[in-house]
Amino acid sequence: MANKAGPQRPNGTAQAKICQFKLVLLGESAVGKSSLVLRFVKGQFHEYQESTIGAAFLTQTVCLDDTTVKFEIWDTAGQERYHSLAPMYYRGAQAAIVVYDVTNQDTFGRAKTWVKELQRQASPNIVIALAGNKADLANKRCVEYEEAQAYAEENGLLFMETSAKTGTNVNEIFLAIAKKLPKSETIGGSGSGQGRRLVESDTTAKTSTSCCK
Amino acid sequence: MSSNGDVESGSSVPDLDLDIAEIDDKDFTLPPAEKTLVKTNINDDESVISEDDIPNYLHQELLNPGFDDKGETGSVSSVGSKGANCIFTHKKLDPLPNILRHVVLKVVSAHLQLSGEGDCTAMAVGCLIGIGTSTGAILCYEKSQKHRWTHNQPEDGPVTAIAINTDSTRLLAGYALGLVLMLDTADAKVLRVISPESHTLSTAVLHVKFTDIPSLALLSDSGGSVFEISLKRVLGVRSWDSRCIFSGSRGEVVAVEPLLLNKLPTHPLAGSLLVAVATLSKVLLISLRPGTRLLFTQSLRSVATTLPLLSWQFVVIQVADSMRVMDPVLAVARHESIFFYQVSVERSGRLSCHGLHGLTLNYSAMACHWLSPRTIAVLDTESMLHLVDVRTKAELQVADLSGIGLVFNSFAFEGACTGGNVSKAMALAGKKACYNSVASFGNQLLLLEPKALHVISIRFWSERIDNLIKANRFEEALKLGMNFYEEREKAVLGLKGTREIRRMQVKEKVVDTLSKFIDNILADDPEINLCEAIPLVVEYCLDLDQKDLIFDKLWNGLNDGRSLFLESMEAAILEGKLVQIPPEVMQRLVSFQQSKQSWDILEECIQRVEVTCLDIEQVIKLCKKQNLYSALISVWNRAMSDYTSPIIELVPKLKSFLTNEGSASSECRRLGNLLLVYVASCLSGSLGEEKGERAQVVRAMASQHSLSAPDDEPPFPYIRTLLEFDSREFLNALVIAFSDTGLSMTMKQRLVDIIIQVMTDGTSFRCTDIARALTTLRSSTVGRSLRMEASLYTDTVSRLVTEEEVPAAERESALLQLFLSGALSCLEHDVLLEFAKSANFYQVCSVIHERRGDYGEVLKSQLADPNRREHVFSFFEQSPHKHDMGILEPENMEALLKIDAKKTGQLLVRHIPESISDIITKLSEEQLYPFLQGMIEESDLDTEHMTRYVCLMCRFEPHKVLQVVKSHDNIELDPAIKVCQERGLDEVTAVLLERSGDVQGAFNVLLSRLQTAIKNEEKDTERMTEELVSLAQRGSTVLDSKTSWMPLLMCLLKLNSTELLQRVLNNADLNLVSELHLLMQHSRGTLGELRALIMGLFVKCRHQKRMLEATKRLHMSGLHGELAVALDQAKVGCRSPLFCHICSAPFSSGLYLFRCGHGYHEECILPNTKCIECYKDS
Repeated sequence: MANKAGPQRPNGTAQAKICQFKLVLLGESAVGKSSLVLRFVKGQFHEYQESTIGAAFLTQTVCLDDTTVKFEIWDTAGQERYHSLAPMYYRGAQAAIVVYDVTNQDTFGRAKTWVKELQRQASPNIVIALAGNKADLANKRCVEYEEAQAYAEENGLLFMETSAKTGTNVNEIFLAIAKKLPKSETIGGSGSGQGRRLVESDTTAKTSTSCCK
Repeated sequence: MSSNGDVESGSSVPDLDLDIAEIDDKDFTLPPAEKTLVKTNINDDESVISEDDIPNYLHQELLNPGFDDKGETGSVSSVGSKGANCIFTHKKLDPLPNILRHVVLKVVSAHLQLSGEGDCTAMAVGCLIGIGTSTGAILCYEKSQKHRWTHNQPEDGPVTAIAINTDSTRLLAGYALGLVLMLDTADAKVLRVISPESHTLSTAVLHVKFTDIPSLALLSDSGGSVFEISLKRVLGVRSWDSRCIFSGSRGEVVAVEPLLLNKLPTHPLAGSLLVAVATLSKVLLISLRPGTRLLFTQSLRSVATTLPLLSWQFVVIQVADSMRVMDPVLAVARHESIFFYQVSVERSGRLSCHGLHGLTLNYSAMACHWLSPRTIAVLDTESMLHLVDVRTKAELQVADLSGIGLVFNSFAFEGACTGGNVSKAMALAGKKACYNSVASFGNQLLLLEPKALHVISIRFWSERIDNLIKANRFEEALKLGMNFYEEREKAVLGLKGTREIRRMQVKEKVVDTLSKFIDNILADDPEINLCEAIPLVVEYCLDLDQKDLIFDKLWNGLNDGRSLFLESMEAAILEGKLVQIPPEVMQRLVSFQQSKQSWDILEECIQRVEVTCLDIEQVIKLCKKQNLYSALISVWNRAMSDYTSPIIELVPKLKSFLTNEGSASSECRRLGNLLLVYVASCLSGSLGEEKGERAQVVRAMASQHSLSAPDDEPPFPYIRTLLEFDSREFLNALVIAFSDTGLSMTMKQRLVDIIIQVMTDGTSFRCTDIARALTTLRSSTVGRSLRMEASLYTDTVSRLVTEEEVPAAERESALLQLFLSGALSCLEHDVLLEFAKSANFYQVCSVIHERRGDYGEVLKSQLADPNRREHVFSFFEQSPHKHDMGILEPENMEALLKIDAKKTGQLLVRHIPESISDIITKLSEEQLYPFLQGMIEESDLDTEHMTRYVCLMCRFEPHKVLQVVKSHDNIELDPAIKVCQERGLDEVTAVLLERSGDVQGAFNVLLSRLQTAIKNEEKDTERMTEELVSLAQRGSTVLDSKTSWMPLLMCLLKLNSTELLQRVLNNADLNLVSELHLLMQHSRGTLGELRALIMGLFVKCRHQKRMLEATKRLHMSGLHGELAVALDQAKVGCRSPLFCHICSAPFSSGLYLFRCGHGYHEECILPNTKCIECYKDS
């Protein structure tokens, strides 16, 4: 009757709790959303990443102090024809990363529209991060860091310039989001916790009173 | 353990306070038992009635005595019975019969051991337990098992019966020597001493019973009588009075059971007192109040060693129109059967009692008690306890109680203390009487051992689940829980309140169990079989809507069982139980199915789950790779509101199938049909309500070129491909969509224009396809409003007429359909006719002619058409324009006769009979015969035609002539005879000759034929002879016997057939003597030749003589009989009456006396000679 979870189990005994968050990536096509996620989840980078169809789903767990944060990541397609899809994903999301390409001014403009749409349509508690991707291509830069920084501050967004290719700031931006997300409060203050579930992983430990098999 | 001593033998146990829980199974010599914590629960009275229905009836005070509602066994726990024994054993994998719980009342039992009051003999249960012993002591225990008092009465023999009243304030005890005591339960004070004189002298008391009336008790004794004892109290002095209500001399009563209503004060029966009484041969139901009356009696004979058993219970019975009544039901058990009798109050207030369905047992019952309104417990003679569900007759559990040494009341039944003054039958039956040692109380059954008391009760529902959980049998616990939840389980105890509350209680419990079970699964419990456990958990969690449990807890915790988990998901999705599933799980499910290559299931699953659960990229890539078109379309439509991709991406795929594999390949058909359905549902608006997508689809279909098209791509590739795939079905799909008005006319027109353009440019479509397309379009609801160029029709028609490579029949039917659809209204009929004639499309011609009212031409084209020529008759038959067709025109008639002269005949008779005579003259004989045949099938012919027909038949079908001639009278004889004679049809000739009156002629013809036949030794001479004989008989008046019988007899003689000869002799009323003479003259006179004939004559003569004698004898005996009767009558004397029957005056001298006994004066009767009284009427 011993109920000790094996060490192979990721959410076994070590952490006190697991928080599960739904995160959505938005942005113009070819700004590097999928690359960013791929770098974060698998640590890989493909020079010729195929364009996403519709939306792709990935998960990644990060440890933050005594909490395990599990990200359910929806990587949406940037192409115009899939835009109708986006609301379906950001509606229940607790976090969003709006990505633009620092070498392309248009994508920054498009990112601003996304931010506006999120502020209008998404849950009011949503944590929005702005990511200026392809920071490694400094020589082709069109969007200045300061400009974006100012915009982010103005709108209360997390902001980082990232590079999926080199990995700069990729984990950092996700961690920053994880830190900013409310973890202590119990599920859903104002119905925004639709996709979030709090799993008490120590319930198993409680029941195991006897150790002998 | 050993310090407890041997409990069975009753040896001393040092201290009452010792931990009784340690008394082991062995000490009680009980079967091996599992130790479980059990609390005794003696006083949950209300389970007497169905728990749902109590509140209406139940008196408030009785509702909750020491019983709380939380589903625990919450009554007073027995002191020191923490580890009481559960007797029922179970092994792993055996179904665990856990409904019944067996407990030993340890404190009571231990006290009985120590008290030294002898062995227990009788027991009663209320809120107290009263036990009588063999030394005459009465012990009273409280429900907490605490001993309250002991009363000793050693001089009256053992206690044989005990009763406790309903509020447990009084106790009645009957003794073997006949004494009955009434005690106050509070302090054992003797309130009344009811001396043995109250009942039959020197008999033991068998039963004492309290009734609803506090001042009335019942008593039955070993003499078999029943007494009612009135308990009076006059001026503070308690006294009693007894009255015999059933004497043992009329059958010895062995069981008495009053119906107790005290729990239901509002029941319509309140105020009456019913008692069920059973003798060894009968069961009776007696009403004692308001008046003494026998309500019901039923014979109950059975094996002599068995006793009748009585038990009352209130049962809710569903009456028609949703009325429910709660009526008492009496269970009467004896040997192998249980009968149920329902007592109900009729509208008039009368009580009625009728039988319900009974039960047949395969064991002999020794005790039988209700434990709940639906369940009855039967203890059999082998000490097995059977728990039976009354409604379904299912045996819920069997418990082996052979470990209990039950007390029997045989002592009282045998009259052991009163010198055995009982009947043999009573003593024999009483051997296994346990009326006073087995008692039921609510849902509990108490069994008395000489030194111990056992309780068997139905477990509470939650306890049953817990029991299974403790045994680590979660699967069964869950199944049981679900059975409670779905209300499938029987003998459910402890669930109360409305249905919702009950379900909520159960749900909570099951969810709790599920959670525990999942913990165990996750703890890698080696005893859990994941293959069974996971699907079960998933199923129940979904049924109870506990997705958190499976997705958060189970899924996240599982390692090895994930594929099992996914399989359960799959099943749940396919069953439609699950549409929302975490994307992570769905992602894994898709990969799992991909690895299993179960594409069909994958496709089904994708279509069934909500689109937000899907990793769209994963799904779409996979579906494209595996050609899961339905799933693709579903995702496109649902996720992206994309209705054009199916056209833009899948139609080119269809095209490549068509060019590479042809339209017949299954893959191609599958995709093609799917697309056709998709197009139809899109265009008709059944896929979505938003307006956009219909226009989207039309625009996509109407696009001039596909994306990334090669330069040589023909225009409108999508529509072209669909048309090439199956033009007919595509057009049908379109036509269905066109019927929806939501699709604008311009869109429809646009699609039609493209279709026409695609079909007419180039040569890839056959002319018939085009024609069919035009027909379909034209017949659609919007056909008339579609704009079409006239030249299109002309071109199509001319192609239909000229294109030789398509079979003519197809072209013709296509043209016909086109014409009938009305599409060709722009073309002149003449032009069309020209076209049709040029291609020999006769059918088209006839339809056009018909339209123009030119029916003569219609007939002509029909006759000209080699395919439809045969059907001209039915065509004519159905045509309403028969007379306008000019059928009588010589050339038409000639053609018709050529096709079928017989049918022509029929036709003419039916429709144009007046023309027949004209036509007949023009016919050749070969045509005339079938023509007439046709006519005769329709109606009778006149004489002239009939004669003609017969003559022709003689020529063409001579073997049928006889039949026809026999059945038809209207034949001219002379010409017919002539023809027949010419053709040598002798039989026909004979028939005709006979009909003409020339019987002799007919006879001659037949005779000569017979003679020839005999000469040639043909076979059917007998038949010919018979014919001849019957002819001769028919014509015997006309025929000269010399020329008829004579030759016949001669013939027969030659044949030497005595049998035939005999028949001739029997039939003919000939003057045989003269015949014989004639015969002699005509023959050569040797006797030998005539021997047979003469012998025949002798036989006939003898026979006739015998007949004569017999007749004479009969006649004589008849006469003699009549005479004897007359004589007998004359001998009988006759009493003469005193008065004349007419004037009523006495007779003085003579009288007329008749045989009937009536007499008259001479002057009164004359002139009558018959009795006037008897022949009044005449």
